[in-house]
Amino acid sequence: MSPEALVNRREFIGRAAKAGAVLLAGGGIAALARDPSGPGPAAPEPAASGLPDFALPDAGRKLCIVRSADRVRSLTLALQALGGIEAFVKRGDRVLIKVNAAFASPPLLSATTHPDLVSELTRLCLKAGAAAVRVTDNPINDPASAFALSGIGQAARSAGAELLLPEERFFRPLSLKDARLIRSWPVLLGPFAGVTKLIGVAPVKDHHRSGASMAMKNWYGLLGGRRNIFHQDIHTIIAELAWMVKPTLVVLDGTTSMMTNGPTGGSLADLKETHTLIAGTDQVAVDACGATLLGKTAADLPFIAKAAELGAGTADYRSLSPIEVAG
Amino acid sequence: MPDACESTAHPPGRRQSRRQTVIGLAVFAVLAAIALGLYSTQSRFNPAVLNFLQGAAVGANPSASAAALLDLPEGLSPLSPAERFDRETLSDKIDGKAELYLSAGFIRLDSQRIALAGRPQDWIEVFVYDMGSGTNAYAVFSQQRRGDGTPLEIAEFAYRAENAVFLTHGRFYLELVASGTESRLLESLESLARSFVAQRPIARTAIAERELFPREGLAEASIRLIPADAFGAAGLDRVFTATYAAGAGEMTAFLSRRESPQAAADLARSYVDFLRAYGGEVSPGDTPVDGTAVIAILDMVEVVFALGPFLAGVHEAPSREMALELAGRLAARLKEAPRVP
Amino acid sequence: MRIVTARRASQLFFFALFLWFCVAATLGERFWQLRGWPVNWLLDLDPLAGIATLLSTRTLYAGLLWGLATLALTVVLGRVFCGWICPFGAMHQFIGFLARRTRRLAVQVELNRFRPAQAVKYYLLAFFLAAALLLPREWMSSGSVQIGLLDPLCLAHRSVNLILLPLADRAGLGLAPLPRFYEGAGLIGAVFLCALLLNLWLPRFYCRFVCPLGALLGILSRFALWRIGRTEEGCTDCRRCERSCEGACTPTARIRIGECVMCLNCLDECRHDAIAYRTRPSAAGEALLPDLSRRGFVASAVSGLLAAPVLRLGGGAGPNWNAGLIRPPGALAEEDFLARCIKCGQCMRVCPTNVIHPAGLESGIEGLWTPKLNFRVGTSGCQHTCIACGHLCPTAAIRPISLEERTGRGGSAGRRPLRVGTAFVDRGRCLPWAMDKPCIVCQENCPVSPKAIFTREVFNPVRTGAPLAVTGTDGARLVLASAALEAHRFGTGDYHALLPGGLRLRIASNSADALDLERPLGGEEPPAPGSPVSILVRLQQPYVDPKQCIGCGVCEHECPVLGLRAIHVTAENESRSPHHRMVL
Repeated sequence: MSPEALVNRREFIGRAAKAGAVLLAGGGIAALARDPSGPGPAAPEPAASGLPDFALPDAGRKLCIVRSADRVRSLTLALQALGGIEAFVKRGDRVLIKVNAAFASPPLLSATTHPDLVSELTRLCLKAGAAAVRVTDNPINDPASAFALSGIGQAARSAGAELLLPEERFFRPLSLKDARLIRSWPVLLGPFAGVTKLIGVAPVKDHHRSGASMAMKNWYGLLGGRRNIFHQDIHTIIAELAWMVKPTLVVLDGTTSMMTNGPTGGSLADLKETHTLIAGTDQVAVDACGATLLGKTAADLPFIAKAAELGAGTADYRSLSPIEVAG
Repeated sequence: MPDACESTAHPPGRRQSRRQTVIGLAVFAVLAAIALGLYSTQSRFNPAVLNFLQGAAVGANPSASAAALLDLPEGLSPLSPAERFDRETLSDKIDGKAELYLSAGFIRLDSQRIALAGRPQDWIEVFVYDMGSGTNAYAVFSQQRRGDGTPLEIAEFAYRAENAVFLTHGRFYLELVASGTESRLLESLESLARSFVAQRPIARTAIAERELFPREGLAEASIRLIPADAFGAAGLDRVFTATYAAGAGEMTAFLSRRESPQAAADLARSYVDFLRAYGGEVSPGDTPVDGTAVIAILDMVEVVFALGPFLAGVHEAPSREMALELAGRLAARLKEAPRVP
Repeated sequence: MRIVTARRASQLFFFALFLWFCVAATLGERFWQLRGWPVNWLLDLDPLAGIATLLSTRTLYAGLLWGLATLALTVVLGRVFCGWICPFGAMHQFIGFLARRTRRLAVQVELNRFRPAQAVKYYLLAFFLAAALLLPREWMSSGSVQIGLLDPLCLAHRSVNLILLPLADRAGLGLAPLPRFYEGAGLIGAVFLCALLLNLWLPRFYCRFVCPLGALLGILSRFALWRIGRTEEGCTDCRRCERSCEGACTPTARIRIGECVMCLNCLDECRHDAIAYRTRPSAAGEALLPDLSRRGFVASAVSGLLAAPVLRLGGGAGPNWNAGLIRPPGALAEEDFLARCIKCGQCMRVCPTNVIHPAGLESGIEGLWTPKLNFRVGTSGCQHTCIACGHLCPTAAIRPISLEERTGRGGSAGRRPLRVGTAFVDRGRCLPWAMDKPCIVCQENCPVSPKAIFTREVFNPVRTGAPLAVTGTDGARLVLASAALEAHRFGTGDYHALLPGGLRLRIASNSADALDLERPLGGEEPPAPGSPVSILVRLQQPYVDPKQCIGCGVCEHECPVLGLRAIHVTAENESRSPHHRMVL
């Protein structure tokens, strides 16, 4: 064969090989990526099925009612009566404090958890040997302003707690088994990473839609997405939240209660000095007790009965033999 | 330059053109294969088309949905929604034939088209007539009996015609008509019919009158129940007829159970009057039963008699002898018949 | 037989097939209707659709696998797709042929001269492929398939489906029972016409300068085993071969292989056997692609890469979503939808009620010519037992759903029907709400069971000028003091007379001075002469039940307030977007 023909042949074979390689690559990618049936209906991301149970198994159902005008003192007395902070927080625990920082509202207006309680609780947990304390909430108003204006951010940080603002990446879908409403709904799960104890701290407030916003309604601040939709079935969502969240301890601050125009309030005229702080391990009982501060009974608040039905606690707080302390 | 080109121009070499022709033909072959391949897909209907053909009744009425009239065997699915017709609307569906059913005690018709899965052009239309009683069902069944049918043992009265199956089952009269004569379709006809019968177990109701006809010379499949206006005579209702060989031709025996011997005698008399009114002439002579009238009308012979509660006789016999012979046999059977049905 | 005869036959075959598929994209079982015809086959053969959706979804959907066949054909034989198969190319070639056949050789050769602007289509390709690339979601929102704007198959299908076939229908072809309308047809038609008319200037203008598919196939043809080229001897430079060169690839000189569309006209024209289709490269040398500047390539790629993220900063697929944009049932959530839709118009063509229309800017420029529902135009709303559009979509931008999924029956109990939106009653325009005129056309036509529109009855007083007074009764007739009424106006069955004491009776008929009630007063006390009587109109005022409403738009279509409809569907509660949920 002439050299020219050889060169041509080699060139042709080279080209043929490259062509073959392209086809092979194309065929390979097509085979890997093949999707004969197309996308299915909006498949929900695999959802978490619930939160861990933070309640102490041997703590039992305890309730303490402290009457005092000084909320920090009330907190101290209440914790003492319940066995001391050491009964709840052990050395090495990572504690999450869920506050109500819903509105960018000053502490004076009692629409949010009082910062003094946040800093005192943080201090106590750290003193009991907690490895870390986190403070979080998903406010209705802009998170940065809410935590700032309510004073909670500053209080948390200065006491040594880590403040976690609700970032997009902290929300993950959660489907509560057998629940009707909390199905594949984004929940603020990020701050729970590594947490061993959960304490809820909330003020006593009137609520236009649900009747009252207390310890159980506090967990609404763990919901993400367009959570306003749940206002269409407010009592069921509060009950499901109480069922979903099993805290170690809840603190309900009724030192100054918002009697009307809740949950935002806005005027000192909405408030009343009820000088009561309720702490306990049964959030339904705590709320039932807190209702009295607003001049309501458990029967006036359907979510209490619904939560009790779901097994989140008991509405008959008296049956827990609450410890009453005058401070 | 173009001119210089043209003067030296010559057509492409022969080898070149033969190669082009071969390739060209190969291309044609490929195009033809593509066309054939595409054509072969067009009978496998797109699911959107199948859904479209099922009609919009699904969404409007969830319970009627694409639920079938019957539990369908494998490989069959509803093609159209089930329809229901009552006495007022029956003619909307079967037009003039409605009269036949209406006069036989028709209550309700349920119908639906069922197709072979994936082949909506092959379908079977199922008609379920609720006639109210087994006798009524038999009436419409027997009156439409096609002579060329093959009897089937699916039900007591069932036969198959070229593209249809007909049967009665209790008070239901069933017609299954196929859109074609493809074998799979015809098999489906029978399996549908079996399915219908299997889903509704009933006690077989014997139709006693059928047994009363003398067997000899009887064309088995010819027994009919005429619910009303038999032989054109008003008042002659619930008449069973059967065809017999009569020399080269045929004749018909008939009988009808009346409420009482008196009613039978009255009816016999009025039928005779009817025949006379149309030009029949009574022909006297020996008869097997007292009071038998033998009438010659239009070149045929009619025999009418009443025996116990039965009105009976022979219709359109070619000769008096044959008529009387048959009448005699019939009378003998009737004498043995149980008085109480 | 000359090879170009085979080529022309092939072009004719595929063009006819293309027209047939467009016609057959009609729901039904007649021979000219859909049946089982694979009407998306030509779109499936288009590898650009496959590659773009592969980049944006990391999957290759169903029929798009056919793109591999075109790929294989091109890699082995060159741009045979462009010259022998593409129906849009065939159209351009034909018009160009008509335009130039009477001209002199020199002019024809000049028209087919290679122009550097032929590089533009490669930049366009780079732009579109970069725009389609799906980056990790945490980085930025990306993966927008825009090839449908300029891809020849998509453009051709869209233009025939939405422009030519409706025109042909009106001219007598009569495929559709009622003339079809398509919003925004003007722009689509203008683009189509423009593309075709540009062939009057330069032949195969679109193929040479614009077509991104041509660019893709041009790149892929570099390893073709057989290629067009000049032989070593015989060429006299007569340039006859370039007279009909469709690709403007200069076969006499250094041939640009990537531009050659395999029309084989050069081979056919050459009188000296100097052009051949063979395995050896051209004796005059080859250039694989037109000169592409790296800067140009980078500019296109970067703009493409940034296009979707920048556009989506506008929030159109996020919090600033347009509630007036209703997508067909089975459509994916907006970002996923824009990652698949190739704007081919098949769904618009097959929709039996003509409610799917090409969008304008409702979803931003990314959504141009993507399908949206318009219930004012068409023969009815979106039929709620129809599943046609998803079963015709070549890329599953609209999923193929089953009837059970659409109606919410079958499958797991408690499954809700597929919703495309929710109807809202505009009480300021609705006849019974705002105009005291009885009407419940919307409620009557609501197709779901139980109905999503319910009514509440109210009785409103009718203005009759001066107050009415009764002078006497006569059986069922109330005689009035004045003769001021319009005769027979109140006999429609909707009007009632309110008598003193609160008794309300329907008016059967009236004359100028008397009301005929539906029944005589019977045991009740007849009104004293001079006592007042008023006429009430019974109105059933519609309300929408959002739990039942599927947004099918039949109510909107039937509403007699024809301008701005008094009941109007917007996209709240659409199943495809959990974020748009309105009710629990």
